[in-house]
Amino acid sequence: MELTNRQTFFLAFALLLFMAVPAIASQPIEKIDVEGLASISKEELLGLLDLKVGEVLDPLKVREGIKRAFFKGIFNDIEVYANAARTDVRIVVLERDRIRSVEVSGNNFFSSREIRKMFEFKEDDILRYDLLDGAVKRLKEKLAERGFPYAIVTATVKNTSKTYFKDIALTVEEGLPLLIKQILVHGAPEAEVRHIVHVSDGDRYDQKAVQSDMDRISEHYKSLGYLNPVVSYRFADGRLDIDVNMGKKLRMNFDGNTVFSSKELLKEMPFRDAGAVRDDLVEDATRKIVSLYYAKGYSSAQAAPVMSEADDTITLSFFIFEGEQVKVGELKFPGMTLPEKNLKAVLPLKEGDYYDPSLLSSDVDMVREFYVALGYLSVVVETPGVEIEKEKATITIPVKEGPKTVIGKVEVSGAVSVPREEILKAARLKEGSPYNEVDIADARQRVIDLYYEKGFIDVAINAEVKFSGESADITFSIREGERTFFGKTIVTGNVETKTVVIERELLHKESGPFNYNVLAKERQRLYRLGLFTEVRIEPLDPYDHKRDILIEVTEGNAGSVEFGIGYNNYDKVNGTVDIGYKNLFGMNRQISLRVGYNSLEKLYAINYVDPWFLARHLSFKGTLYRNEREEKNIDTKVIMYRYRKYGISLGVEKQLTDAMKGSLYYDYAVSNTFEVQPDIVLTDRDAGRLGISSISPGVTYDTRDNPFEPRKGVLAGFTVKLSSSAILSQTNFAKAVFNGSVYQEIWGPFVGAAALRFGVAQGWGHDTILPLVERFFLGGRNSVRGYAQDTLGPRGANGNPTGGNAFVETNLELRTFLGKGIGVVTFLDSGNVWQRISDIDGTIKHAVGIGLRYDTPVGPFRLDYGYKLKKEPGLSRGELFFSIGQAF
Amino acid sequence: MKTANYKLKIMILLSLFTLHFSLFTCEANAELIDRVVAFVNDRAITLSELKETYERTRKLQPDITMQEVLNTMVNRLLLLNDARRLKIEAKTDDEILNEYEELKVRALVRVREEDIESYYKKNEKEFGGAPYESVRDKIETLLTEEQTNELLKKQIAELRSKAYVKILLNAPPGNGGTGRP
Repeated sequence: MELTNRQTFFLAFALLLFMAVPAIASQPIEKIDVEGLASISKEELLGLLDLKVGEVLDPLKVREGIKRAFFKGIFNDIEVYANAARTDVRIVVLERDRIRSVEVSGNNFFSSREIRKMFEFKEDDILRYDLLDGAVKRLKEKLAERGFPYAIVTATVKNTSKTYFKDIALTVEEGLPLLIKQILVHGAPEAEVRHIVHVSDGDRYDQKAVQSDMDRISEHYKSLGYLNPVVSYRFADGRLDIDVNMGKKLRMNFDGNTVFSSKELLKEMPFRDAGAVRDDLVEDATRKIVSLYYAKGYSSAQAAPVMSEADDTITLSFFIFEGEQVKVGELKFPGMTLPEKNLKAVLPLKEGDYYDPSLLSSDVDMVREFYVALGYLSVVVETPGVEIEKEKATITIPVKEGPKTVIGKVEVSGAVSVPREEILKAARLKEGSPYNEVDIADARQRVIDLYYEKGFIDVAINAEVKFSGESADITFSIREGERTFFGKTIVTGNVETKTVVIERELLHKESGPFNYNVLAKERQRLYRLGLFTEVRIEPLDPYDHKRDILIEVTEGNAGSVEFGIGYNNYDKVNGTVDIGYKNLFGMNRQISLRVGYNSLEKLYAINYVDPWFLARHLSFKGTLYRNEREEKNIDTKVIMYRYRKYGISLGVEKQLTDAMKGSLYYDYAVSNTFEVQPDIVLTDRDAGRLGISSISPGVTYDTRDNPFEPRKGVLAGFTVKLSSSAILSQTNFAKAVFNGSVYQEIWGPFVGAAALRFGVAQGWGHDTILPLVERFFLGGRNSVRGYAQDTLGPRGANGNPTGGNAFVETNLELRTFLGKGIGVVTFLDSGNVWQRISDIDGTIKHAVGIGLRYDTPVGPFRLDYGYKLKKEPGLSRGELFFSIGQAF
Repeated sequence: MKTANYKLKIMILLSLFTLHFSLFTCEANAELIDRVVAFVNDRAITLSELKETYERTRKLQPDITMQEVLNTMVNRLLLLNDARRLKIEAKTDDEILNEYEELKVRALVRVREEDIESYYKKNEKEFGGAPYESVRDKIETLLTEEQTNELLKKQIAELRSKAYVKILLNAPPGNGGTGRP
């Protein structure tokens, strides 16, 4: 068969078309190659670009992806290529250059550090080539300001071995400085001004230093009573002219004041800050004086200002009439049928308090609000009457209650996606409850929140109220709007910190319902990591019912050096140094070295914490330590024993709920106990070398409002320690310890605190009694006060405490906060230690006492005196303790 | 002759096959799906977006160049970024820009009576002797628009000087127009 030309071409094109169709038609991506990427992982880039092997390449998604990835702020260009079948994708990225270092040379006068501070380009910043010349120019200007107007500055960008990282070589030749040859003062005594300023003839003309001098002169004249001294300077041909205009002086007098001193009143005056005496400021000052008196119950206090001006001095005198001090006697509400107690509790004026007449209008408003909140919508609160007799004010606020309105039917209209029952449950409005607008507004907000949680961010809800008789029917009219979902998350600003550290703290999931509240919580979680000084979370423009989330962080300094110093009368002065770094490998892993010293102990410890062990929300903690300690009988000053301990502790902690935490630790410690007083030796493990290998599971529950100074909440914990030869321990025992503390505000400044601790232990095999370093001891500043450190319980032949296998302890405290950081505590501590569990009897030792507290930034300074309820022979009657922090 | 014709046909078919495979399977001829042609801080404008906007604009202004369209897109982004900073929200970008213009530009426009009078005197001939009162409002609208455009240009120039703006349209692929020395 012969083919014609036409037939050949037709055939060829048909064949081509046949073969091309499956090629052009979308096929899943088989391979993705990325070129030029350095700062982030390939997975993160592909996640941002929304490109995946196995999915079809969509040019529109590529566009969105490029725009999304650009928010990282690290790219100059992203190019996406594909073969015709779109199965092979190649991505070429070009990142923005970053500054690795700024090297300064040629400088003679300023240090390299000072010059780096003045230069706008900083290490790790994006290198903006377009701004480099401007930055050099501004550095020259700054050098000129500092007295080097002839400085020559050049900046050269140098390649480094690291892709996209450049060094800036900054050459700074300061040249000759401009010098002050002569200083002249105008408008003020020259000798006085010269005495204040730091610059002198022959100095470099440093405008920063000169400006500081001008501020100093201004402050000097302000301190002499001048209201607004104006100081300026000129510099030309080596001559510095200082012009001083001292302005007017203010003299203030107070007459008739006995309750407040003139010094106290002067502190409240606005004139010095404003730098002027104007009529409006005088009026403010008068009002302020009167309000100070009102707050102290001087309800008829008056203040009259008199101002005079002579030469350069303004004299302002306040003549004060104090009147008598009045207290609120009785609050009366004629016409009121409701119980007065609840109303009185919320009013600003209280019976027995000082009578402050400026609070009277607030009282009237509050009475009205009180009634409206209870459904009395047409309540009339009439003008109050005040009768003062014998320094007592009787306040009468007449009330016409009117009818009470209650909530009738509650209905929902327009809800499609959320069931009516769920909306009504969220609204929490009950038929028959008092009607008031505040409750309805709150209910509406709760329904809005419910919709927000489900991603309806454009929801519009109107609470329509229909009154019929004394009831109000409420209808929540809802326009749901479109549902919005979370899109991709873009993390930027993290240079040291790995993106996964931020991503693992996030609560939202891609395609989950969009919710602003979730973003607010995420922001808090990111701040809590302690890595960032700023966290900004911004939902980007919506697309396809989705919103991408841009998270911008600013990293802080991850390194820290902390010093601690404390004192208590057992260990004496305690000193600690902690050197830590909390972003190891950019993974928020923390490592720290702690050195602690006091008169009885030396501690060296290396701590390591991985908050996300094995990529789970599980905290791993490891400690390697060396500890040297001596235990002293505080009564006799005799050293009871010394030990040196080396150990390692490895464990995991898991936050089970907001308040509950579980833990599991393994410890191995080798202790060498020596110089042991013979009478406290209960087992042959008490002296010499002993290796203890143990496993300790535990659980803690903490709902305290403030760990340093709790006012309410509970702290409880239960730990078991198991040591056995099966895990290579040289001794066998099991011990369990429970501790529980409860804190509760009782009334006003009073807080009650109660604690219970107990522990039991049992050895087996070779010994039934715990080795000395593991035994329980009681007594001391955080235990049963009244007994010196570790002195409670059984004693040896020489009177030294031996400790034991069981203990119980209770503490009761009444903490009174007196204000200004001062507090007083009264306490009852009880407890005892027994050598064996079988020895436990009803013998409990008690101590009562009193203590003082003074707040410091590291917890309250504590001074306690404990008094033994029953004096024991050979022991003191009581003990005094100093330390930092509450006892429990 | 017959054989020659047959050979030619076979060659045509073969070359078409080669073309097919080179077009649809060869990596060397990879197609550019999209890339960045400009950015304003961290917001990018892609080639596909530019092409779309260019095609749309060309229907209204046939003489416009791609560079001019891109410049307009950059200016729009500058203004939108500033509007976002000021927390101006609306359903569409156009609405945001309108509100931004009202707040940041039109609110500052002041056309004084003497300016209107002066414009009228200078261009009296163009109004064909129409009395001042009859053209006053027209002149005011004209001067308002002129001032608005002037202020808008100034605003864009100021925003541009503060932002990190790069035009990469003519940069060869793989270079990204970095401006590196």
